[in-house]
Amino acid sequence: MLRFIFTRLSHMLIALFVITVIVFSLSHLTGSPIDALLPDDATQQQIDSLTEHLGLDRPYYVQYLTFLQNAAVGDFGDSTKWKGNTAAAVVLERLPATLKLGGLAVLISVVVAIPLGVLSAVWRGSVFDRMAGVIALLGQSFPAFWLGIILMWIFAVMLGWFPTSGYGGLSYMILPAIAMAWFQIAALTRLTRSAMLEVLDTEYVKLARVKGVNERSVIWKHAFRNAAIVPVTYFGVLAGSLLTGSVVVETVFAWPGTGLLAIDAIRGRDFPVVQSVVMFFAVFYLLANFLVDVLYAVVDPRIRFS
Amino acid sequence: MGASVLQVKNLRTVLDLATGSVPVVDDVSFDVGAGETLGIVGESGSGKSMTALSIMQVLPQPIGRIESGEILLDQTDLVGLPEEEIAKVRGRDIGMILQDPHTSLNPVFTIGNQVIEALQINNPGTPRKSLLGRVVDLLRQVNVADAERRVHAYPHQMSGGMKQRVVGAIAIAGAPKVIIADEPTTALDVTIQLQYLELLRDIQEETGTAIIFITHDLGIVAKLCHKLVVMYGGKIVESGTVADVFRAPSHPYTEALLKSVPSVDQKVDRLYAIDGQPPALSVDRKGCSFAPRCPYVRDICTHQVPQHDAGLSGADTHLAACWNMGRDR
Repeated sequence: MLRFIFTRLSHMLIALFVITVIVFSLSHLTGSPIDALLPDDATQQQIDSLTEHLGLDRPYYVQYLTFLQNAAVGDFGDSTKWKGNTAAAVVLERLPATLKLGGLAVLISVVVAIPLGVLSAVWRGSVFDRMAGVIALLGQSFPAFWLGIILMWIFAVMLGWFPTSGYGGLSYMILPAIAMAWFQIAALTRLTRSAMLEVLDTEYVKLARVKGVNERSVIWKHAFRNAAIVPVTYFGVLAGSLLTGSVVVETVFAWPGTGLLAIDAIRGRDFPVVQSVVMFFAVFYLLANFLVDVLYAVVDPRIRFS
Repeated sequence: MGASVLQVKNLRTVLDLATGSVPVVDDVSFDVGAGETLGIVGESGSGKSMTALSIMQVLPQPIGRIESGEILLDQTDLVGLPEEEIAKVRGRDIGMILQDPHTSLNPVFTIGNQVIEALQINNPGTPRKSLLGRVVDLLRQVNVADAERRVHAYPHQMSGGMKQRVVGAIAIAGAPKVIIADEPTTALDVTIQLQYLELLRDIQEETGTAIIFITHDLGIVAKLCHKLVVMYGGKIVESGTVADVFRAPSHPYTEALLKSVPSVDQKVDRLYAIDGQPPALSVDRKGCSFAPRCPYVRDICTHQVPQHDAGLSGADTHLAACWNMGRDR
């Protein structure tokens, strides 16, 4: 088990290394930051001195190593848009809002999709199964930004049950969380359903039945423990797409999280902040997938002992 | 051999397919007494496993159902009992061993865990800790070596033969009156097969349980069973004691099956094979289902179903369903 975790951790470090190279390269591909930092009528002397000050005259590998060294301690430079703050501080300030919203969306997805998927497999072909199929189809067809606007229109504007947008307590989070979760519910329901269908057909489920296990334990203990590996796998994707989804949904609902921050930073050509957001997203995604790998081992002893 | 523990009378099980209700078990009757072993023999698709699943009432849902007939366990009819009552019978009164040990144990639970579960069903309310000793005893009873350590093993850490022993331990955990073994040795190595059959016989001697042994291997039937029924196309074509049926096979299908078993005494160039395919599931069938493959087929065979008649051995327990019986062939 320890060895398993160690291997996964080393894989994570390799992935992280590749990501830093990509982030570093991309930021250089977008052109020299000098042009953005200095006014159009800057003299060659000003340009040269700033280039030297920022270390942009040094070879790329030296610049990369410096970037890596600073990134390791969370230093991505100072924000150019939000003056007087480091880029990392700007991102960290917005991170809780995104995690709160994303967490609620994950919670809604899991709480809705798992029972929906399991029960539609158990009652396959029933009205329940067909209804779940419709919910999944709709979820996969609605783009999140469109769904967000429609939800806002119906539940905030017409019915007045929730505030339209902005930052606040639970009532502010429900509509954006549903907009983010519905697509995930769709995918997760279908995955859980097909995994359960496969498992319900196995011999060990039959053996559990013939040895007298009651139907509820057959489904939730014997079958679901085995089918769970599929939704667990999807959890890694889920975590990642909730971050990318946050860029869209946070913009629609004016939710001041990292997604909205990324859009603002890109518009303001605030590269340090863009870089930090990308790095934070990357690390978060890696951690989520690492967690998935560990969960695998918890769920399936064949992985734990190999 | 006492009175019948399990008696199946005119059982008819159908699968509701898109094309209609297809009988997979048709007018099947047999009985098995305490300490007795009944063999059910037939090719794949002959309805032998469906008969077992009907007794346990775990037919494939939602398409499978028992249409008519009785399944009497100690004179109590199990057909039509509510699910809660049937659930009490499963594992407690009737235990079952499935075909493939590699897939019939749950991969995410330890061996001990799965045996304990079977014990808990039979002793509700007993704490798990106190059952652990019983688990080790059960595993020893089915000859699992190093049982104390093996209770903590997962199925993937054990061999097929060991796993099938564990399945056996689960089957006997409730001290059932009947054990149904559905081709329990098919997936095992030949050397392990024999050990397993001996194990079943030992268990039967110790506990006096009745065994229904489903197989396509007539060699095993000869070794293990007291009586047998031969199934074809969902129907019983011949039944009787092993001695009678082997001495005087009365249905052409039984005869063909016996001919296709290799023998050490006779050297043959080619093993006998029955021409054609077993019948496909279909809604309406006329006449004897073996007719298309039968070397003795006559006109009547193709449009009228033969009734059970005294077999060629003359014993009154020996029956066969064939239009040609007694005729010279």
